[in-house]
Amino acid sequence: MSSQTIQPEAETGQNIAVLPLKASQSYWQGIVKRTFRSLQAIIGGIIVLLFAFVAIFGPTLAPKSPTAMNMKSGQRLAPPGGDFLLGTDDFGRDILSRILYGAGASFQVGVFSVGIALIVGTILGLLAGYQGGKLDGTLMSLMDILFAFPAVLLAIAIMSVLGPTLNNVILAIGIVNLPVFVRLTRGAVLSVKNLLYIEAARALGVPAWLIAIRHILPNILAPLIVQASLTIAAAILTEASLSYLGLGNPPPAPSWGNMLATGYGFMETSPWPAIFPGLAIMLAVLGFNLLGDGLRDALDPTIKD
Amino acid sequence: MGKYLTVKLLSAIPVLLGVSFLTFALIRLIPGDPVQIMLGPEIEGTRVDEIRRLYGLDRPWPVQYVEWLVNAFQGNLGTSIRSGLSVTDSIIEKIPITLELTLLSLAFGLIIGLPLAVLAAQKRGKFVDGLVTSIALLGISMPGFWLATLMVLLFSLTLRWFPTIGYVGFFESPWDNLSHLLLPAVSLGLAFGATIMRFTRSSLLEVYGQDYMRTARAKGLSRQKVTYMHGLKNALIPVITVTGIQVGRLLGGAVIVEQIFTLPGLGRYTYDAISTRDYPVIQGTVLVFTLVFILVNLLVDIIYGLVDPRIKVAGDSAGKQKA
Repeated sequence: MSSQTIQPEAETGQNIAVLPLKASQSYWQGIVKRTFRSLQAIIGGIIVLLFAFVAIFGPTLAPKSPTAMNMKSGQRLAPPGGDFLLGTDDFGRDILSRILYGAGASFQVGVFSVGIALIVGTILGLLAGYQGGKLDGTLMSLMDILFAFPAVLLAIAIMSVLGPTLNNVILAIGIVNLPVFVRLTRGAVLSVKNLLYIEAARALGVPAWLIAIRHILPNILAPLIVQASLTIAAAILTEASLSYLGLGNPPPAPSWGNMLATGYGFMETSPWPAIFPGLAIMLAVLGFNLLGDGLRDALDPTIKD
Repeated sequence: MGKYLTVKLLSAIPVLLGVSFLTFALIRLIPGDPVQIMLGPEIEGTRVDEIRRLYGLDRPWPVQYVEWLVNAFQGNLGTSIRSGLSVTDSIIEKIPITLELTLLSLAFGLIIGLPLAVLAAQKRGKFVDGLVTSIALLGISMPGFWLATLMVLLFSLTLRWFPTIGYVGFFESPWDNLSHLLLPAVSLGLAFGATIMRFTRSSLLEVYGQDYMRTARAKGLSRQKVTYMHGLKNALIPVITVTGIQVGRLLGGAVIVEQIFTLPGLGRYTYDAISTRDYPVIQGTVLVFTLVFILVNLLVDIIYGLVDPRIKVAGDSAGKQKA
């Protein structure tokens, strides 16, 4: 994660060479060092990497087909252990395989929806904060309106309009999370906009977009990364809620939320179909929360103890 | 304060207008004709047109919007296409359930969140702090509906302490009412409590570093006194803001929790309306949800002004910045 963020930094530094490259490198090196010293960030990072691995290779790792039904007696709602490691659901489908297959959708929604919100939100926030005036007013009122909707309700409404497909879930959750990033970026822009070094850059004739990218963005990257990690955690939960309500990735493709919803009906006699997918969701969300918390401590220069 | 409130109240109007307009536009984009869904696919032609005219659905939607707005101002949110009942009446009938659920989970979250935050902050770095912080992290990572599932499994199905589903009105039987709402409120309120705990803890730690705290300790006040008299009062300012924003999450969560526990509240009403394309109902409930959210945050601003006297002078911008 951290090594990736160094890349664009170093490249733009070489091309434009406005600030000494060494200073920016040691800043990021310091962050990498502090990130590796944070136990939370390491554990979170490991869980996230594991989650990514399962999301990509889940279908290869799965011992059985996620959709093959085993309707013979004893194979429906079979308890964990034996042939089916985590048991089977009401159609005799292997729960472990379904969880492994479902990881892909969950991971994609989390990462891509927040990716959209992060990129679009940062651009809009930079525009609003840097330009000010009418554009700022209009954009921020729009964000206030989006923010005033209860998030799940807005996602449900968008999903009903767009129809239940994986891409639409990503889009809906991306839209829901947009205001957070716009506000965060705008606030950060406003706090540095009138500082001397920005004024100096402007006086030198550096175009506004370049000031935004080269001089303002690096200042706000740290809180944005932290927010992104925490928002991915929340996005995975929202995806699970949507698929729990039947508005997520459509069946027969397994999704964790949907597995929970169907498992709920058989809980009195066989609770496992309702327990394991929830455990998977919690672990995935926990990973991103830990990473976000750890990164916040590592990236915040005021917290040092 | 009066002027501050007026500004706040006025600024809510464009947001409400925007939300209602956006909802109106959005639900008309939902595929599927509500009249056709109501009548079934086999009925065609004049009957469909007739009913469409009856509900004003034959006119262009901007006209429908203005008409709806004029009626909404008079408290008339139209009639449900599905049931033919007044939307306003249905909302009035259902909203107490959702409000009670939200208030209970709010209370639950604050009751567990605040004391644990004080405990963790006072024992910073110790085992207790680690334990409480870890539990809070699990709390915000756990899907509310999964927690609901586990609690139903343990408390309702295994121990048989609580009923699994259904609802009894408070005035019919307060005890039954609470036993039906306790599990939903806890499953909805746990993530909120965990969020409150995390915010209050870090806010308290920040306050502990302030000079006036050291002064208070130096003049001989006990650690407990300093925490409750000086620390918590200052630390709670950002927490109040977070609470206001979290109410939106609780209201959204109510949609799902009411679904799981089959509570006949506003969330379930909204969800059902979305799946049956009941335009007037969706329109009305989303407006009410948003209104509640905005009112709660207005209340937050008022409390804010009471707790932090600087806001009266500095007005809006100071409040926003602190948040």
